[in-house]
Amino acid sequence: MSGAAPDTVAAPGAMPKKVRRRLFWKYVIVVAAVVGVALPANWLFGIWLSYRDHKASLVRIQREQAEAAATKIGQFVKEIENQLGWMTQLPWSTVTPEERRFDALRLLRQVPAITELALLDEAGREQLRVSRVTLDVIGSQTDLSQHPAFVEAVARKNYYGPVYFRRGSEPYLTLAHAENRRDAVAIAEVNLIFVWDVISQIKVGERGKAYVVDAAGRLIAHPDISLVLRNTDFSALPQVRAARTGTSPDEERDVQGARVLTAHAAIAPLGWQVFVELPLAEAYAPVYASLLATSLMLGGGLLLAVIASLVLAGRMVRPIRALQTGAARIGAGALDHRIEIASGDELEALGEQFNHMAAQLQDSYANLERKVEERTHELQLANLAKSRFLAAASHDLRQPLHALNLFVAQLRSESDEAERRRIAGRIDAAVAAMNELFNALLDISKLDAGVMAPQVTEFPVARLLKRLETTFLASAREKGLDLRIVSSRASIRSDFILLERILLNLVSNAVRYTPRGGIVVGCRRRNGLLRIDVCDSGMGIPQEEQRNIFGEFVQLTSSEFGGGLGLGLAIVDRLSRLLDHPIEVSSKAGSGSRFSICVPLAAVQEQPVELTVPAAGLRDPLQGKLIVVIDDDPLVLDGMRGLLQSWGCRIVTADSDNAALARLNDAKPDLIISDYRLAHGGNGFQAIARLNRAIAAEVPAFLISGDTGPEWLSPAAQAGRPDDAARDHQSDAESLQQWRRRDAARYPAAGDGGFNPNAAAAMTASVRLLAFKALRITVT
Amino acid sequence: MRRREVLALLAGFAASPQPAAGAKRIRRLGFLTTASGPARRHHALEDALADLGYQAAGNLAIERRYAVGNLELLPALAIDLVRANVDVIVTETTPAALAAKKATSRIPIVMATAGDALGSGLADSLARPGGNVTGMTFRGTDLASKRLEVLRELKPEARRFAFFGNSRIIPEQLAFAAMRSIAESLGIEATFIDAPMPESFQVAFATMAAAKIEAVSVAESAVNTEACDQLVVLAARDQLPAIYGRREFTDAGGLVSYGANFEDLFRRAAVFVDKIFKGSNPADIPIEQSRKFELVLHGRTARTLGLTVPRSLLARADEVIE
Repeated sequence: MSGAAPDTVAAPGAMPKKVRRRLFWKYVIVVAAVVGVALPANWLFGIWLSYRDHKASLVRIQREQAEAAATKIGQFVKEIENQLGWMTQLPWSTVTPEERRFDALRLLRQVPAITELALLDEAGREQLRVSRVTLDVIGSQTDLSQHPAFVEAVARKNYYGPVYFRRGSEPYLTLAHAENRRDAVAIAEVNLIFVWDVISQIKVGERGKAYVVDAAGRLIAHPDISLVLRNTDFSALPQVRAARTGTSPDEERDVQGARVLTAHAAIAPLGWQVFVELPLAEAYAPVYASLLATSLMLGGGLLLAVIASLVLAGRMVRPIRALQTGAARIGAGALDHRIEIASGDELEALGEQFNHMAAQLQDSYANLERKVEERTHELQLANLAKSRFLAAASHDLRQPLHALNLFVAQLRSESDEAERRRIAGRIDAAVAAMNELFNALLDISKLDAGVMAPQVTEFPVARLLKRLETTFLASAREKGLDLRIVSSRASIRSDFILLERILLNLVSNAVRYTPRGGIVVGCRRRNGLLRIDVCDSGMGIPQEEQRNIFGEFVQLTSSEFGGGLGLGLAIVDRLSRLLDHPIEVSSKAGSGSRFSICVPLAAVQEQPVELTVPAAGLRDPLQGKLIVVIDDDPLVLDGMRGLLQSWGCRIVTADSDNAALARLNDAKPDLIISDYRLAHGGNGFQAIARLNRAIAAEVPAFLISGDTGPEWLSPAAQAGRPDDAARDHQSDAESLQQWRRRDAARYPAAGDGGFNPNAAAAMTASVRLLAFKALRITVT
Repeated sequence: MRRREVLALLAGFAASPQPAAGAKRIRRLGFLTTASGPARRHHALEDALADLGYQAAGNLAIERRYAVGNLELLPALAIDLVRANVDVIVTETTPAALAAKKATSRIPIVMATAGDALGSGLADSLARPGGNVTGMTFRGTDLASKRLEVLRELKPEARRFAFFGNSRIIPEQLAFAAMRSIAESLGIEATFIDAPMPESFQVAFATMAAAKIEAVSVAESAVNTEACDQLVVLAARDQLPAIYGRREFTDAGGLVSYGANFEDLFRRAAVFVDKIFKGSNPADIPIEQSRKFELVLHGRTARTLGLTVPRSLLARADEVIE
């Protein structure tokens, strides 16, 4: 296992950078920025809206106040007019001067604003003047008929003169009124200081004020009367100018330069303007207050946002960081580390996946290590087995070698011919034993190395059983054993030669290790397989040894049974594995044993090929000869069969040497004809050589083929040439080749494929000639 | 040791008068008058100042100087006030204002009452006084002619009129001059009767009786006002119709008065004082003229004198006392 991983990510080979915390700050900044943008934006917008609304409502209120003030001042003037109306109601002649004077004096008392009052008759002559500060004048007859006051009053009932300042201090207005537009005209000098009383009563907020300017922009009334007495010119103020042009500004500076919210209204018909002004600070005090309050709230909100974003980001980042450190630790090798996240979301699921992965890794590692251990162990065992095998083999080899040494030494010193022959025979026996051992060793090596490739064909099992019978009948009778082989009509699918080897070994063992009684070989169909049993009445094999007997050099008994190397069953075991035919052992100590091998049944259960009996007739030199034809083309086989049978031959057809061997059924053929090209890449040379080897004979043979090229020579090298048979065949082949070439040249494409009557006839002739030559039949 | 020093420093700091923004600074006001002592009209000034936020007990200190009718005392009293380092001097009567103006051209002077500011030379113009004097004027000169008119209405047949005042007071001189010019245009006589102090009243009335004066216009000076009872009694003893300048006289039993409301004048004076306290320059504060003039008649006195009050006068009268 890997060593304990360190807490920081500092495992060798890991990233040298220190752990970054950017994600946390990213989250913080993002959340704080979002809120930090949204909140102030909201605040600003709210403030702006509030300011706008407030200002609009203020301006509206102020306009109303201005209108009200204008109305009030208008009322003031109207009152005076009404009073003057009383005075001038009646025609001049109907009122006595005393009465008029009385009325005028009463008027003075009624209207404190009038400082002087003059009455003109219908001709415009002053008939009466009363005053507060100068002497009254009666009947001066001053002609004022051209005075604009008189003219205007007669024309339009009322005259409003321009505002003038007495002694440069007090503003006065000349007001004329003629109730009936004739009869009498009253001209009053109105002290406009009395408008100050009206203005002073108008409350505009805490520190706002209302004031009146005349048409020229001069101040007429103001809460601070000294401004009026100073004859302040307000005409320069933008709001005054705007009022004269008719526009309505909102925020301007007053005469002292302070910023105010201003509204105005006109006092018709005097042409005066009344202004209502409120200092901006007071006007917007509520807005400023709410600004302060909301900005405090904004500050609080932002602070809260920052805190919340820190907290939120921390919470979000924590599981991610747990993942990061956990993954780093697992990656560094601490596979038993488990990430713990309890956030209840996808991150927790991800953590689970990580843990699952780590657990899997852990298991794989454990598995791998265990497997490595097992393999190593197995290898060690195999090595051990090999060494033991070698030791046993060497041990078994030493014996005959030792004997050989003795025999050779004996031979050297022996002079007696008969004794020398006997010794030579013993030498032969020893050599044979060594040969046998070497062959067995070689077989085992070949099987172990896997160079043996089974060639599976379908063949009747009877053939195999027949060969067994022939092989062991004699030796069994010699030992006094009863050998019975029960045949079967079944066909099986297996490698003929290898299966034969297995059965040979089994029966050989049975014969060797059965002191008395018999051996039975039989077949049974079981589960779609054919079970071939070899039963003996020997000593049996104890239960605990039934596995071991298939090991190399394992012999259950001492050498009293003579012979045997202990390799037979080892070879059987390997062959059975190679062919994938399971072996069973059934035995009880002391009461014999049964060895069984299960082989698959052939798909097509065919009858063995009968050897045909030729029709009676002219005796053909080839009559009665057994010819084996090997070709992978069934048509060719049929053709050849027909041909050769017509000549009175017995034939066996097959597509390979193995099949041929199976079908020969121990009969020794007289001639082998093989196609050059066979299935599975095999060639005729090899097939013939193998067949000859299998049947331990040198049967004459020749090849037929459509090929005419120079490769005819190379197959000889391909065949391997282990024995002289191949060389003879080669020389035959060379001569045959000349025949073929000549024939082929005349009849192209002969022998393969399409049926050309001339070619067929030529081929027939050629085959016959070749057969004669091979069999050394001379025809007279 | 150090801690104690710090504490002492803090204590001293707290104890010393702080020039806080406007709230706790004590304003010093000097009051100069020819009267003998406080009168009701004087209180009007203090009440008005209190309304404007100047508490006598808190942030306002008033130094009062009374000339007790003695005009010679005024200059010394004025200098005294100047030396007292007042922030503003409020004066009653023109002589006091003149004395104050002579005593200082730096300290602002507010005339609570003045007969004729321009005529007395107290200011250059009503709109812009210039100098350091501003305040209220009651237009005594303008009223002189109206008073004569009223007398003539009450006693149409009278031909010999007198002006009872102090020749040293300039507005009274001016008032008499106006009266005389009108009298001349009307063809009647007007004589100046000089009676500066109450002690000289007896002699003045004897003079008038000797000159066979038929009606008198009494100046509305502070001295006369203080001695209004005495004057009224004397006028009644001599069966002399008199017109006064203030309603105090008619309240005391005088026949008729036509003039400004002096309490109003003092009330308005407080506004001037407030402006000056707030830093305005008196040269820029316009002088205000009184605009309301009350005509008060005493019915019983008229009947006692055997005078019929014409309807026109009744129509004009603001009040008729019985």
